Amino acid sequence: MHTRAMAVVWLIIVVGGALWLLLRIASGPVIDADLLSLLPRAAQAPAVQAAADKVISAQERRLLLVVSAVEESAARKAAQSTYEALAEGGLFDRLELRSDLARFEGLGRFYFPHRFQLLSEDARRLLLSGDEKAFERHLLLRYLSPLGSPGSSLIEADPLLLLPDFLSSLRAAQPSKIRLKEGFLTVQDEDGFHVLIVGVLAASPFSVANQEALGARLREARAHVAQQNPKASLMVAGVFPYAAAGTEAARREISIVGSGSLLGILLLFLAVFRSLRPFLMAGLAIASGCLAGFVSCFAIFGEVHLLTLVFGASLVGISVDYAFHYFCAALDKENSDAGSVLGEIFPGITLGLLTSIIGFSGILLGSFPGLREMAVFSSFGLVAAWLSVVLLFPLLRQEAAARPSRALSWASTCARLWSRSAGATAFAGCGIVVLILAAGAFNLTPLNDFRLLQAHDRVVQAEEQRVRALLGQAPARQFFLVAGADAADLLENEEALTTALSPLLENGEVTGYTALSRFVPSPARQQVNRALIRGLLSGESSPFDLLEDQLGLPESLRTSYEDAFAATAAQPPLMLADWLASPVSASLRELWLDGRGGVFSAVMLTGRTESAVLREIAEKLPAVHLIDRVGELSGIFSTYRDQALWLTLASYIVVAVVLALRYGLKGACSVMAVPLTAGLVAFGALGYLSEPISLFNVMALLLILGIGVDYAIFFREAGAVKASTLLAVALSALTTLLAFGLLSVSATMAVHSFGLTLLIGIAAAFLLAPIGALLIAPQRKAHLDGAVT
Amino acid sequence: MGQLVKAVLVVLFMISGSCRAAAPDDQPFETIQGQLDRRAVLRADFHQERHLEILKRPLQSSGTMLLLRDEGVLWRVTEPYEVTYLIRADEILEWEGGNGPRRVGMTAVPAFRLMTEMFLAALGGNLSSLRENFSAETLPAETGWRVRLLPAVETLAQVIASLEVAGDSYVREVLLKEVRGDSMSFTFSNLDADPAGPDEAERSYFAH
Repeated sequence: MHTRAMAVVWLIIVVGGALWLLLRIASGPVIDADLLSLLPRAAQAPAVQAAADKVISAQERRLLLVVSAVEESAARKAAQSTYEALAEGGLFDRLELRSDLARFEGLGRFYFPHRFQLLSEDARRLLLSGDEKAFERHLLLRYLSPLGSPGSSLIEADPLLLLPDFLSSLRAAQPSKIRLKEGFLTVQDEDGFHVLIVGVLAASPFSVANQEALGARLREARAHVAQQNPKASLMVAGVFPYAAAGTEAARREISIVGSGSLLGILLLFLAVFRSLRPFLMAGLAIASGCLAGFVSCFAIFGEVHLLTLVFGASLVGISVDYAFHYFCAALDKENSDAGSVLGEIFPGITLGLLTSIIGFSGILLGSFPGLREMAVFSSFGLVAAWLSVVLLFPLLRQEAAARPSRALSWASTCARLWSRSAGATAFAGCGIVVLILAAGAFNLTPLNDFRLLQAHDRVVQAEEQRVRALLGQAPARQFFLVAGADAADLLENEEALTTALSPLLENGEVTGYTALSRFVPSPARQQVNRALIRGLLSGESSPFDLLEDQLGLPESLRTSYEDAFAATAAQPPLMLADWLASPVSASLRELWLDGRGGVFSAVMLTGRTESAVLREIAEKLPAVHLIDRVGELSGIFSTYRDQALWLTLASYIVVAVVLALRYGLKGACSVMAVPLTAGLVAFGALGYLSEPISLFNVMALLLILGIGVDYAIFFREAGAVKASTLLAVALSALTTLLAFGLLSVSATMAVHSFGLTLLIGIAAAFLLAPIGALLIAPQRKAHLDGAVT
Repeated sequence: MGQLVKAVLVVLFMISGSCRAAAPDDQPFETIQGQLDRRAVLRADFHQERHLEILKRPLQSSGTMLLLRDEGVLWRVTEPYEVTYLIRADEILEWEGGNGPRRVGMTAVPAFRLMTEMFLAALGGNLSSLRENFSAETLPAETGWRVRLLPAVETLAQVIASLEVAGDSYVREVLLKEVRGDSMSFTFSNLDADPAGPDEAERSYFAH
């Protein structure tokens, strides 16, 4: 009655959990697909962190669409229809096909009142160096240049050409293949014409709902473009296609792994037990396990990451183990009642659960959010599966299980083989195999970067590369975040940074940067600029002398220029706030961040930049932080791999201690020999396969410990290599192999590594598991035989 | 202030609208195109004159040019200063006083880009590429041909009054008249009938 009451309570909990889960799913997004959210946060001040997050999320939302066709008019037409199809429905915050001409016209109007406070970087450097001769030579060259020389009205307004010089310095200095033709951003190459559409998504590219909506819209647009004109095409570049492809791959893998292992299990059950009832009961154990995994993740983390689901799907293969042991024991003891079947396997599966949870706690102690989620999912899932077997199975199975199975007699044959060859032979054989395979471990190569988490999608990658090649731009993966007490302070800090960057620009390590201070110099710099212009006008030889002598500039222009200069003496500097409020700053406003406790701005770079060089710059400037999430990853991955190795070692020791308490030192050694050897074999084999080693292989090592120890324990608890135990272990190994074997085909490197390591390790653990039954002391064996109650 | 805004617009001018002239007269383009020698290399001496309303004297410069079709023009000014430019469709590089190359800033401005393209097209005798933005009328000429191009699009017409091109099997003269009265002319002489390819020093410019 006592167990019956507990069973009812457990059933109520399961049903309650299922209802809660349904409500939770109905109430909002539950699946997170952002890979970076799996990763630990870098150690930076929270305000800097928050500002960097804002910049990154703004960058991630950018989407570049390129519509190509042989004829320019066809490309424009296709771009127009693509633009119209995408602009509807609020998927984009901003979507631009035709560039706004007013912005160009507004530029001169906006800056003109402040023209005596603004100097291009080149002009400023020349004047600062005091080389007035060089300045004058440059000025003359501007007048005489074969193309783009100033017209009369420009000369009349600004004979020294300082403002046009400043304005042109605002545009990117690097050559770009993009041309503005009749308002269309166009690139021309040997294949034809490519028209650009620039978009900013309304939602995160990692939002699964957004991926579905926009993904469908993009597919339609592609089809429409191709249908209108067979030679036209649409290409997309940005974070979005990668994120969508990642979700797509994860979905595919979840369904392959989930349904593949379910199908495998169903077939195994039917083949071995020749009845549907055990399968349905096992299904209950699996379902309660997955349910508990979901509920615990939602309760603790608020949502479940897609990668957790991929790993979680493989839990199916582990949670069915307890059910296998139950039914195999029942097969063996045909006439006994349900209670005694449970009694026989209870110590084994309980110890198995305990060691698995020790393994997962190891992961929990680590501070890698993604893996913590997986550990929580798996631990709670296993506990629930165990509870279902222990509490519900005896109630559900009233009569003896299926008829004697042929599988059991095969298992007996195998078991006899093992018994005969046991002992010294087994150890010797294992020793040789281990030695051979362990040698492969010398061939291990580490892999610690973003590629681990990115689903490899050739189509997406090829399109991205094509677009980048077309545009001839290479945005750097790093950027600087500059802090300031207020706008003026911020701009000064930015100027310190851009000064430090200039040698990198000269040697080509950085090909360009976008910084607010280029558009609005700090008030201090504006003052310096004004002083430099004053020096130019009041110096011994004014550039006007030269213009008048050599080019015939009328003297009246000198007077009016000097008058205008004097009239603006009391003028306040150009303020950042005014610029931000003006339409001229449209696409650049996202660089500015008004945070709590200060203001921030992002300085974006282009070029193939080296983090080490940039970090050196950031370290010298207290207000400047280098943000390099992708670069940080490799550091994070290698740190956590080492941490995970230590955790694995500690877990092995804890498990060994627990085992020693029950089996004595010798027994613990024989049980531990199984996962240890399996782990060595797995890593050795990876070495031979030239698989790169990362954190995820080490995490698999931890699971090999949990599962391998389980197998050995089952044999140990059985006291010998019994047919029913062998069958149960064989069945659970088969399902686990199926699940992880399927994981190893994943397009995501991390999932693949994890699956492949487990595939090899579990296969080895299964073959070696009977070692666990060795070295049993006779009195202990007698005790075991009598302890089935 | 309005003056400068307009002035900046002059530089930013040719962001052309898409409307073509109602009935484009392609005949002159076709005729001239037929006469032009389109070889891969062209060498000539040039003389450039810029007449600005506001200046008392015209701005003059002269030197030699080397055109490599599909690559760009090496524009070597010898008078009044020695300065070398490499003009490509998407950038202009400048070498001066042993320094360089320096990227001339204006290249990022769309209108200036169009200007550069026009220049390269006219120089390279690729007049048909101009038909998109201009209508043409043939003028009487003593030898060869002379054609007057009138902007066919609104934004161009705000700045350019006319573009005159004259020549025989080469373009020999280009005259650009602006709406506000400024003008610019290029005359080419000593056109080499069988020009040598770029030497090593010239190659090194193009290599940038």
